[in-house]
Amino acid sequence: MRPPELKNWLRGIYTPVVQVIPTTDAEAICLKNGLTFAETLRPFCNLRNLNVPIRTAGEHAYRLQDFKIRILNAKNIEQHAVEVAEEQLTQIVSQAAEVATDEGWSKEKQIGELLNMRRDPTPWFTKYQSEFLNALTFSDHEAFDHPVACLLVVPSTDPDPVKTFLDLYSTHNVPTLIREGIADPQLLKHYVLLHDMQSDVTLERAEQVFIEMKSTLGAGSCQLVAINSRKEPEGDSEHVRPDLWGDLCDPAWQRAAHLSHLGIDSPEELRMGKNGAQLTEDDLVTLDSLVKDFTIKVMLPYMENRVVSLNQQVTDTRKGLKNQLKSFWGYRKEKPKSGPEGQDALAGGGHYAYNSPESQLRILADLAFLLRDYELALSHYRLLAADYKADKAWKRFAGVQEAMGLTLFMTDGARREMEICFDSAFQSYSRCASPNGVGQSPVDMGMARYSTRSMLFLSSIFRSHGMFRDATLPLMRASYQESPLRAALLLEQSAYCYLHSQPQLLRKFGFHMVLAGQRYNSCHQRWHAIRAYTTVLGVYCSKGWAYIEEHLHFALGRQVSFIGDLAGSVQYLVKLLGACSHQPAALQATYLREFLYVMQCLSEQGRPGGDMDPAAAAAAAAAGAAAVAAALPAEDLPLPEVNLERIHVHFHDHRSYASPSAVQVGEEVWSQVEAPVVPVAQAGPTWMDGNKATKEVTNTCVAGEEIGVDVELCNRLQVQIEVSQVRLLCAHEGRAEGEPISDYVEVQEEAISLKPGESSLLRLRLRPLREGVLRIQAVQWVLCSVAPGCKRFRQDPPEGARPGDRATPPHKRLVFTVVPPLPRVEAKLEGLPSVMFEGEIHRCILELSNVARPALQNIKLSTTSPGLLCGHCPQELKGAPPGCLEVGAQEEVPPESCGSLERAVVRDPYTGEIVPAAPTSVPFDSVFVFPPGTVLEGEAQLRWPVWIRSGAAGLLALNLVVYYEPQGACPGPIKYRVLRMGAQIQVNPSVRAEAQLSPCRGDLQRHLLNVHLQSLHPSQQFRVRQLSCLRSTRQELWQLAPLSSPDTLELAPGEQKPTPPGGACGVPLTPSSQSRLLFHLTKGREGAAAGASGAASSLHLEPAGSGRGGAEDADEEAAAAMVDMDHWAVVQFLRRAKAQHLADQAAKQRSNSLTRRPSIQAAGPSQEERADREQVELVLVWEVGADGSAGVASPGGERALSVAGPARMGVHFMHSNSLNAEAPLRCVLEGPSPHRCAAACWEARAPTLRLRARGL
Amino acid sequence: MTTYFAIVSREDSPIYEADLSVAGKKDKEETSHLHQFILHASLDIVDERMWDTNNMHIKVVDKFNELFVAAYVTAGRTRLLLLCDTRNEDGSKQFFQEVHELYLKVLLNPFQGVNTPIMTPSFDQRVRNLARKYL
Repeated sequence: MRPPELKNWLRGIYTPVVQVIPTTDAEAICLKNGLTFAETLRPFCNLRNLNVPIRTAGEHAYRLQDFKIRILNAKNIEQHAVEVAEEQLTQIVSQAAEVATDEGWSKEKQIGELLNMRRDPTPWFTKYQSEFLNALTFSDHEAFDHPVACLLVVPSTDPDPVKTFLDLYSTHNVPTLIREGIADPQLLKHYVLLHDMQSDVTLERAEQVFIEMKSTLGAGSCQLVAINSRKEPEGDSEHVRPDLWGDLCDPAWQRAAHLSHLGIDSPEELRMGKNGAQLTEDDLVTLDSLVKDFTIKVMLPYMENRVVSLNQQVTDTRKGLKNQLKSFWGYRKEKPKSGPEGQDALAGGGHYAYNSPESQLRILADLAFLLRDYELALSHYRLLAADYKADKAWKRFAGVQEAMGLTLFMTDGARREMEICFDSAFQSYSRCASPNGVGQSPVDMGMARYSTRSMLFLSSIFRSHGMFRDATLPLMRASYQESPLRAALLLEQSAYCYLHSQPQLLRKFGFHMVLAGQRYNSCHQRWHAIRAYTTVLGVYCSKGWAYIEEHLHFALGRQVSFIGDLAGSVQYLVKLLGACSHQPAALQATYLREFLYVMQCLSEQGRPGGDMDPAAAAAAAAAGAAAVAAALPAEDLPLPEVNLERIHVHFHDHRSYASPSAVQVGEEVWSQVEAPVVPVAQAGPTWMDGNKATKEVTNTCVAGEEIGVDVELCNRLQVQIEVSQVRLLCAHEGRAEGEPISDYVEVQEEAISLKPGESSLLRLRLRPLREGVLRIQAVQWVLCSVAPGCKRFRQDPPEGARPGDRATPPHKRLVFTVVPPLPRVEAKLEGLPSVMFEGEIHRCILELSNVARPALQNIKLSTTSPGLLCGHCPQELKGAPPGCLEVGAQEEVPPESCGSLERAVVRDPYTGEIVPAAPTSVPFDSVFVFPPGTVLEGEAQLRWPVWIRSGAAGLLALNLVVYYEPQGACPGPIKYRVLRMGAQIQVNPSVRAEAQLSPCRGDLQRHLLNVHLQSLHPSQQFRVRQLSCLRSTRQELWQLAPLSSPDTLELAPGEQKPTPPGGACGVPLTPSSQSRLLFHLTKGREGAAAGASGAASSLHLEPAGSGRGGAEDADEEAAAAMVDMDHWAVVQFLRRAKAQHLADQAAKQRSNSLTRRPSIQAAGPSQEERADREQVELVLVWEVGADGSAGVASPGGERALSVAGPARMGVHFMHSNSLNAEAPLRCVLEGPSPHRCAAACWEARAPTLRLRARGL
Repeated sequence: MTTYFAIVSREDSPIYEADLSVAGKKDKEETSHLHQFILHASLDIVDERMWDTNNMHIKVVDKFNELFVAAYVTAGRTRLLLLCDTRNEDGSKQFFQEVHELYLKVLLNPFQGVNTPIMTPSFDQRVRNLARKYL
């Protein structure tokens, strides 16, 4: 609204009131048209093109071009009760909600859309505002609405109209304002004689009465009106006149009040069809001229006169020097305080009768205002303001200030002054509204409305001047003390003011809109609240203002669900769940609960309560699920979070794993282990095979075998959530239409409960049942058994990769080629210890079981671990582990008998041929081939011995691959399969043994063997059980014998005294101790000593106190207790240990030679010479002494070891250079007797001497 | 006493927020969104007022009920906003200047974008120390 329009609007509001007092009969005539008399006249109240000259107090007359009057029934000239008025206003807002719901107001608006909004966003506010102003009329502190004139209406049928006219104006019929003495009762009276053309009284008769009336009451103040002249019956097609009365009628309750006052009971019966049905065009002209004549000829002159006379009166009493002096000295005649004290006194500062000077002044000023003589009005308002201020009559003072502000606007006065006027009006009203101080409760709503009115005027004025930013402040101020609904409306208006200002303050707009939304919310105007919030979503969202977004979404979610749009509500609530991780747990729980509740309602929608037959229930459930899916696509559910990066696929193609730890071992290690057994793979496509590379790369899996996908679910909330029915969603490309997917794939469901902040890896399983291509597409779940969720896996290759690129590793690929069923082996190692001692030998059982139906053949084992040795035949499983190694514990097995293992073979890495492994070419045999006849039927088992010897202390990794092929022709791409087994064993230190040979003084053929033992384990006791000397490379066999007499070895400091041999060589080796054993070593003489077998000579060491050495007792018992050095497993392990030892030595030497400078290279024996030297290879057998009793044999000569339960035994390999190299030059004198010629002997021995000397 | 501090990037996203109120007596979740609303709304005024002065510190720009918003605009149009229920021009000026220095140091980090939230704990700690010192 520009200023002229606003002025016009204000003029339309402030118009003189004309009161109507009809008789009951007169009203009945009008009611034939469904209208009261006042209503009948109302369309003609807006007078245009008048050009009437008006002359008030000024010198010059001015002309009124248009004028408007209000014609009201006397009964309705009073202020409505606050509650009634508020109810009316609330209804306007509610109706707006109903009307506008269909028009799409509550859509989320983009910022651009907001900025370019053309149409009025709040059309209902205009109506609300005028209703609001209307409700505040007829106040006692203003004179604008005091009736100026009175129309008395009497029908022509009345027997004595003159008397009736005179009686009509009685106290009973005047409005409350006059009755209470607030308004002037001396009104202008105008007498209307109403003639009903349809009555049986003729017009002539009526005119006669009229003449009589004129003569009595005066010609100027009487008028005759004839109406209802329509003759033709009702429903005539002719009258298609637009309804003139539409909005102008009184509300029903006002009309009812008026009619009941007249004694007319049922207005509904009197109402006949359309408004004004009985009125012809002529009647309308008559009515129009009635109003016009009355206004121009009667009312305006009357008002002019009134102003002039009142002005004169005021000039006499208030102007001039004398009067001014009077007021200067504070002379005031005492106030006529007739009203009750208390509230009224506070609010109004007393009661002013109409004839008090203040009221007269106010009436004068308001009349001048109505007559648009604003200058005159303003001067009187100023006068009046001072008076009221002196009286502390704040309400009246505020009213005057407000009127002054309006007058200043009308005269385009100083804007600043106008602002001050409205401001002080607002403050004064507020002071009245809050008797306990501004901003304190209780607030008198009736009074607060006036302050709101003043601010509304101010804001409208600012807006009319285009000062939108200034217009917001009054609205804001008014909103503080208003009822929530009006505050909401005001805040919304102020928000739009921000939007219209230049530059547009979008963010301010948003804030005020949200404030308005909150107020709407609190007064249950849900639709308006939703509208306010959705309008500003675009302003706030996706900017990162977390709390704001959360507030908006939660409020919207709630409100939208309250108005029944559950689907819409879910949209907002779900956004909340994804972005509330910064909030405390209680709030998150609230959000989650709200969301789940709405989802629950949604799924139960349309499901009638009570019992249902199953079919209907199923249908309802399906409908509910569909509704849920429509409201919230499962992909949009943010809880729990699925980490797509951490997907890991577990499946078996030609490879399978025996344990999870085997999976951890790298693929490189496995390919190394497998290399000897698997066929050489065909080279894959290279970059030159162009289009072949574009083919999709898939994993291969076997029908009937399980595929596992590890999916990480993460709960970002601080609330525990339950996730159930977690399953994989997949598609099978071979599936025909209509066939259920369950025929092709069997999917397992999981359930998990995620603690606050927990992320958990969940293995989801499925089992393809038929061949074809299987695609795993997504993971599905149900949150808290209400909300379904889904997360699609990334199907396309990562960015930048071409299709078919091998960039995706197999454990990330989710496409499978399913091949027909194949055999599958599962294996486990029975009796595998988790901890071993260094050098310990252990036997385990490898149990292979074919878990699938098809049979398999051609089993091979391959390993790269030197500590692992596969048994030769199942017979080795007999006996307890250490005992079975003893001499004689094993019977002979014919090599061709049941399933014995073939000779170890190794594959030539270059030719691919399988060649028998020569002990010298590889350190150990790595491949074991089962005999060709070995077939493992479906669901059969095979047990096979496996020997394990731990190496150096530390961690021993055993990697074993089982290779097998399906029996018979194999159509699929998988020709063979491998099972990968891996285990890790902790190896603890046990015993360190070093041997040293020294010459024996007494006997040249003998050597003294000094075995230095050291226990490395801090707590475990060991017992040395047996010492064996292996046959040397020159096929010489040394005989071991305990030292028969104490030798005179020098003791190194800290060493124990050498244990006496024989009796004391039984050796419990206490933890962390050192010990020394002494033996005689005699060369030669095959089979001379006990315990000598094919490969070694052994000596059983008895514990102390047994009184005998093993070597002397050649009985069977002692021999049986010996560990068989010819046992193939022991031989193999020793060979490996020796190879390891040699490799270590070579490495050491190499590193020594590298560090040593060439110039000072030792002049020691060269490499070849060293190799020449004979070496004595010794084997020490120890066992673990669990405690004293188990290890120590009784004096009765029982076997010490085999009785003790699961004894553990280790074998140590040590070697020492033979004495041949170490010995000093020595002479050997041999002869029949000492007396013989010695010289011959010397000569004879000379070459030997030379030979030996060279070895120095 | 309410004190709420925020750094708003030039794209209007909050990149750092801290409730510097003395030992939270009020229930935080009740007011946090109100603080954000006020600060967000005040950006309109900040954008307008920053052209009126040569200083980076543009003092109190906005007011809502009893809460004042003081602002400081860096050369890169990053806005430092302080919501307070008391006017403390000198203190807030000092505070802003020191925080500005800290902010520049954070920006030197090549992994810190202009529009990405500042997650550095040491920055947070230092801002709180400054608040204790000046506000």
